[in-house]
Amino acid sequence: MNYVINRVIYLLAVFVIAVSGIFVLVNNMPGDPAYGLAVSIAQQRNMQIEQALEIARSMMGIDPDESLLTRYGKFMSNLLKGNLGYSAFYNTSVNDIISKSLPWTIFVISLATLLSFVVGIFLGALAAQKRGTVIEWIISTVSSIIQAIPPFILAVLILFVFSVTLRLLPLGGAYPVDVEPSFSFEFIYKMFLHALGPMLATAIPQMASWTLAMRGNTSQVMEEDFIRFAEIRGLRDSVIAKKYIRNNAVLPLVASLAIGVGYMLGGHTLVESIFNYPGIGFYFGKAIAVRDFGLLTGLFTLIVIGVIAATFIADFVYSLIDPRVKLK
Amino acid sequence: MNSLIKVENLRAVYLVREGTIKAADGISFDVQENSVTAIVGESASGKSTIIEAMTRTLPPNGRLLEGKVLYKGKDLLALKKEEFRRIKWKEIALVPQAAQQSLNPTMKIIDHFKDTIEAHRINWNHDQLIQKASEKLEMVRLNPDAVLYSYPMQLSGGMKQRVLIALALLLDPEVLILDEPTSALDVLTQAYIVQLLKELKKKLNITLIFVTHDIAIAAELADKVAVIYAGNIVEYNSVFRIFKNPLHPYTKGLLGSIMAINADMSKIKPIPGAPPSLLTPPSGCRFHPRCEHAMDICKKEKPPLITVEDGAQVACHLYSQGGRKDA
Repeated sequence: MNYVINRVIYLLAVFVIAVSGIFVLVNNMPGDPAYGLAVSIAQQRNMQIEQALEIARSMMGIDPDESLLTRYGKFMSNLLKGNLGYSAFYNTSVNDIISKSLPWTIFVISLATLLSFVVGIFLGALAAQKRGTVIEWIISTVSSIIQAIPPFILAVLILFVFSVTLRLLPLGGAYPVDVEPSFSFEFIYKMFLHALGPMLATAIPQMASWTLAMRGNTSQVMEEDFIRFAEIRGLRDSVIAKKYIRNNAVLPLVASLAIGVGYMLGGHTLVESIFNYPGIGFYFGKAIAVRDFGLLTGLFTLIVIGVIAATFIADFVYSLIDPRVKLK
Repeated sequence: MNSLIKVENLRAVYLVREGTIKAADGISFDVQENSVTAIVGESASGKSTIIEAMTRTLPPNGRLLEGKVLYKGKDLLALKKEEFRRIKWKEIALVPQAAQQSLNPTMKIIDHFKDTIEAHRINWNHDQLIQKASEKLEMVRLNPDAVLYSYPMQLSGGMKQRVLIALALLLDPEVLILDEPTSALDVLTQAYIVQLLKELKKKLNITLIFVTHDIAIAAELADKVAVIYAGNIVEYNSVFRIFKNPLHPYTKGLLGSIMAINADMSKIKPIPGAPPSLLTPPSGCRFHPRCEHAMDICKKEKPPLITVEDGAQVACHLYSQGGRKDA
């Protein structure tokens, strides 16, 4: 229990430091967050840019005379209330955008992670156990190549091949515009179809890295003395493969699994932008493009929360599955 | 007394990048039923290779070239894999070196016992398993209630070594082979394990074969001692005669280099030179470059293991060529 309390305090400190850092960075970025809006106001209303800038600032709730410290205080107190800020571009609260987009991202990420982890573990263990054979060579070589492909290149490739050329997958979005969201079979099927592109673009490179990591861990565990002793005791190969090799090889990966999910919240930006998929990453890309600093800060904060929560979950899960950690 | 195990001309090598390591080069010896045999040698003399080859547990780069291991008339090395798997552990159990890492870190001790009986298709129910495992753990003076439900990392080095011995005794084997049962343990724990093995020997009807680099432990525990030098048995003799009247120059050197706590330091004589590389062992008798009695024939011909007086066996031209027996 003491361990949990220590962990919570530590992660809270990390949170405050990370969020403060984000605030300072975003507020010191070159350019005026109100400028973009001011330009469009000036054009629409045919007025001077200085005037438009003032209107834009008041619309966005920015007081140029306010000190950084006061703004920081406001930001933190809002954060404590669970308010992640305001998006000038979408003219709505960041919380709104998140509640709309986060489910899509979680949907795609969890599918991608599950698929890549399960397949990666299987292929990695297979490669290690078939050491020196063609099977190992193929798995390792293909994984090494795939691992080097960035997800956004793969995304463009998938979009081009499956959506544009073969027309098997939709071009973008989370579901067809002409279908009302419902729990009908058709809608769910279409939803999966739309998620397939971004999911594969994320899952395939990850699958390769899980495979390589698992292969490495497995061959390491296979060298251990307790494997040899299990063989000496006459245990069957299938029992050794499962209880002695796989269980020990997969442990370190479970921790990276949770942390990886946390990081993916942010790393998903380009893939979602390419597929026009309305998740967190899509809005993240948009916020950068239009200099929506409020949205940017809010989404950054969300990612920090995601990574911290994932770290905590990883620690916790690890202590559940590895007896060596629980006892410390 | 009958010989229970008869090893005949065992030859095994390891394949490494630099060539082949000739780690067991024509090993032959008999093990009497209910006796304790020690295989003594320096590090990298090939002593572990002998038992790895005997129990078919050579590492992946190990190759058995020839030889027979007759156990109750059956050649263990010629048995089919499945037949051998049935004899292994039930009749011949092996406690490997590196006891510290020989237990699965993510499994409780009880599960190691469980896996072992399941591997041999023994239909004990849970209570029977607990009872049998407890009995064996008590035999090695461990408290079953504490140990059975522990993870390996909760046990000390000496406790782990004893758990391995208890696991080895689980199916009441006739032969227990131990590879360096006391290395990597502190001196007090070593003495404790030796004491324990002595007790087991007294209590159980069991044949012990163990490998050690510590000749003092051999003296304490063994009935017969096989002295290994560079992959060969140079002397096989009863423990009493080995210490009283060693025959082979290497055995003499080995005994001369023991440091007793009250020894006169000036009397300690290390053997000159260093053990040879088993990649390119010396011609003829592998000990000849370090032997003060080396003759011309020693460089050319490998001395066979011959029986001299009272059943003692020695591989040295001093004895086979009618040379100076008093040397």
